[in-house]
Amino acid sequence: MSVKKVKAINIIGMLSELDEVIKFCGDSEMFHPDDAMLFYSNTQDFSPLSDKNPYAAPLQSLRSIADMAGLKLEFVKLTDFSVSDKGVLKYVDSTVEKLEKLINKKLSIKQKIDGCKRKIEQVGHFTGGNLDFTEIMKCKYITPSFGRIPNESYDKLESFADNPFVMFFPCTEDDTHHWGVYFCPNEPSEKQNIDRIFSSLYFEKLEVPEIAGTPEEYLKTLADELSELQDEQDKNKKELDEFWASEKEKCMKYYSRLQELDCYHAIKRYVYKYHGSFIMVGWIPADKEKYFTQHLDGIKSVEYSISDGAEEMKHSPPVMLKNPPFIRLYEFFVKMYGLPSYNELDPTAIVAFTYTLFFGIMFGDMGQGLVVAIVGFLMWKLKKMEIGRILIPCGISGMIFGSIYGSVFGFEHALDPVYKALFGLDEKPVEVMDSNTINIIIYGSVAIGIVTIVIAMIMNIVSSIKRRDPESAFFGSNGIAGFVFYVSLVAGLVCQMILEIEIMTPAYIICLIVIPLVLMFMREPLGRLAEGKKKWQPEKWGDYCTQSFFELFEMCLSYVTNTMSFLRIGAYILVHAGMMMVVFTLADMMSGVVGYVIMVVVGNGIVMALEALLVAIQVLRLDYYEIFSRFYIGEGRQFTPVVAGKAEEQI
Amino acid sequence: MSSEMASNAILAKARAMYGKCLSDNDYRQLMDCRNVSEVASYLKSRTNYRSVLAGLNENEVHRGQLEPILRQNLYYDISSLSRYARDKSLVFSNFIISEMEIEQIIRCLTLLNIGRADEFVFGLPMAMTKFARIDLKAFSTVRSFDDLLDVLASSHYAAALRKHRPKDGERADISIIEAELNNQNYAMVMEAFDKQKSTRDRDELKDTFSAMLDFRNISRIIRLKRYFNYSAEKIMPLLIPYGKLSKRTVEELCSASDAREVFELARSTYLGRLMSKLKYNDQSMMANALLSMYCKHHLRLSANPTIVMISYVYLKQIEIANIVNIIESTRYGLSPDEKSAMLVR
Repeated sequence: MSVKKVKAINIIGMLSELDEVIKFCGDSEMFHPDDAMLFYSNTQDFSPLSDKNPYAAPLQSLRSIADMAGLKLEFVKLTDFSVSDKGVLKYVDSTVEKLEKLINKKLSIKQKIDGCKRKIEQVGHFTGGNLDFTEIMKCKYITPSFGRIPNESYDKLESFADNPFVMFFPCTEDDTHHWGVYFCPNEPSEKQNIDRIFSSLYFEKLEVPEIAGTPEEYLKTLADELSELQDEQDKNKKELDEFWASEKEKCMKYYSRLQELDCYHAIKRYVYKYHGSFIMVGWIPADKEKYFTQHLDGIKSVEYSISDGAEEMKHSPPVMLKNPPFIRLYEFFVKMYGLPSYNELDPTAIVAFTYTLFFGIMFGDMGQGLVVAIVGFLMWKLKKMEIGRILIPCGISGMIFGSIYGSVFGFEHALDPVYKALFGLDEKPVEVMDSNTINIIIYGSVAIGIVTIVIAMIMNIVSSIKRRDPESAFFGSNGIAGFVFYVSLVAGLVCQMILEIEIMTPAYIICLIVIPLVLMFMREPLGRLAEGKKKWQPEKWGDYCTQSFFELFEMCLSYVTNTMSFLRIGAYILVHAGMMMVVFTLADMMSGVVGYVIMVVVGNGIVMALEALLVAIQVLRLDYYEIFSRFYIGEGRQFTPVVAGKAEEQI
Repeated sequence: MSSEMASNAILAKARAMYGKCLSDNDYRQLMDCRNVSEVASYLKSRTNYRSVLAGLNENEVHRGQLEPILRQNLYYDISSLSRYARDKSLVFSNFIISEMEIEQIIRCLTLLNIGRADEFVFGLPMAMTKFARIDLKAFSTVRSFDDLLDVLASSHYAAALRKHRPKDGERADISIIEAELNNQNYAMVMEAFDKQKSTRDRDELKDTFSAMLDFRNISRIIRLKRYFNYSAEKIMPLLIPYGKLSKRTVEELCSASDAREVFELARSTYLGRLMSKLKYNDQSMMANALLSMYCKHHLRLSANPTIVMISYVYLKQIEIANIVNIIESTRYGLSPDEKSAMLVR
């Protein structure tokens, strides 16, 4: 349950053996390349490799042509496939060429169809006026220009009010354009000026000379043309399907090999030349050090050095989270917030525990929990949605708490026989809507909040010490001072008010409440002192005290509000019971069994969807704002080894 | 209280709008396009730009037409977010509107200088006239510097323009006027941040915004070093006089011998930590890449409406710049790999 150890590996060798090293690193699927420049202080003689990637263009061509053809290319793991690099390029070139011919034909037909449809649409704007375009175009002293102008440009025409020739006569208008005509005199310089103005206003001319006679006659010709083009399109589609049926399997293999070659070549972007040698730096998992050294030892000119990630903190070692399968599901939420830095605590385990627990408590219903788990499973299996996997344990947790509350799809006494058979109880042990239980739920929620906040504070103390940040560890509101203050205050209040034990003595208040408050008030100068800084005093004590006072006040207030924030856990237990009560009240108002059943099913569906969404968001909010904000920074970067087939996301 | 809640709506609204921005897959598809028509067609059919591009004839579109339309989408977004801007977030809403107004003033001055002031109306984004606080339509009647002063007489830009009024027969010094207007805008926003009642809000706003200004300054220094090899004395007045970097650090950056040294020096500042996470080795892309990463982080995690709005607007500007780069590189027939190297993501 932590950040997995990584090591920085610095490889130097002769340029002639670079390809071999890169292939090994790529095949290992455990090498995260990094910019070698950052690891050396004197980089004057380093120069980047200017090798052009010979695989990028063919790969891109194959992808784009396949995409245009609507064919799906997939990476397949190659086990028994021995073709030379040249052979791969040759095959890809010929496949691209064949596909290109088919696609060009397809595009050309599509273009003609689009053009035809566009003309139908354009000419449609001028029908009904009994206009003979052939006659209009014969005018001797003026030239008409039919077309459309964007609405925005139409509004700008008012700026030309002083020019009598800039005049547009609209026929129709739609959401984006005005369709119509402008006339200009046939005097060349004036015509040129008017055409320039309309052209700058993005006027699009309709090719009127093509239109012989009236627009209605022209539309009929266009409809016949469109029908012929559509037949041609069907024929082309059939040819493409036949080609793919015969080539698919072979093409996938060549595509996968090409992707592998391209991906490994991309590592070269991080490699530098130094005279006749290459320098390459990257990160590997610490436990794979032996595997790397064994293989690299076998390459003649290669020399390497390996150092611990902890020694390379200034290079921000990439982070690989190491968690057991159940906890790993929740890495999704941690990544969404930001990965931990290499020297930071991994909060995934806390998220896994709190998220599952809080979701179960808040969602508690055995039947609905089961549905959520099933829906989560389907979301994961069918749509590969990460959140689906998280919903499975959350749904199960909801079922467990549902069995404690005795609620099954809102039937609050459905489990009574089970309790009787197993535990000899007359009815379910927890009646959430009972006034005494409501108090317990509220106090319980606050107690959960206190425990969670205390755990988050402990995490912050450990994490700050790890990061060597004494201000946050000792004097911060979530450091030791804040911890002592919060715990003492809570313990004092509980003892005094609930257990009626007098512990709030003057010594207790001064030592455990006042002194921590003073330390928090002075946290900045004290933190600088602890760090051994010479300039530890604030620039102006007056300003510092005023600012610190208000911040301390806000801090105290936030202890209360943050603790109260956990009341939502209890509130949702009551909300569930309340909403289901409404569903059953409405169901009772329906006439007949069918109406009752429909109302219960629909009501359950609505409540389930609404509550699952709200609870999921609220618990995430508690995790992010009440827990993470206390100790977590999340500025790490992910360990992304070069793996063929995932190249685009990784390099 | 109600104004506070309205401002908070920006958080949800901006994040929802960011969800509709171009995805990695969209960028891949756009880079695969073989001509500008295909780019326009993809944007029109598969992205959130469909509403502004509706009615566009993608087979006859050219870059000059496409770019203002894409920017129109940004204006709609800003006006949509500004609707929820109250008190705190109104500060930045006004700042961004001022930035756009300054852009139009500078465009008008440029056209005046080259004697083509009558063409202003062609590039005027009409969508912007709805929320601009100056009469942009009146700019189309401007034929001299004095005309421009008359149009802007009642605005807060007038004083700065009057200060740099060119002598008869001379051209206006656009770079000085632009720097003056922008610095005035930065000063106003910083002053507004200083007036925030909450220390936390004030510090967060100033810290985030100052970091963004640092990115701009670094980008400017790198450009001036790389293309003009300017000295520190020449660079310093052209920088934004705000930011997190100390004056001494900025001077060191300006005194660097070349762009590469600026890049290396920047690594030793607080920016180094952010830079280590970047995949960009090209110095000229670095500042925007930093801004993009920084904005994405704040857009997702900040609870401050102003910061979320700033982040969204800058991310959207980067996205539009990326599309313009794709269009340009497609026109010049660059390969998808070459196009990809020009994008900031």
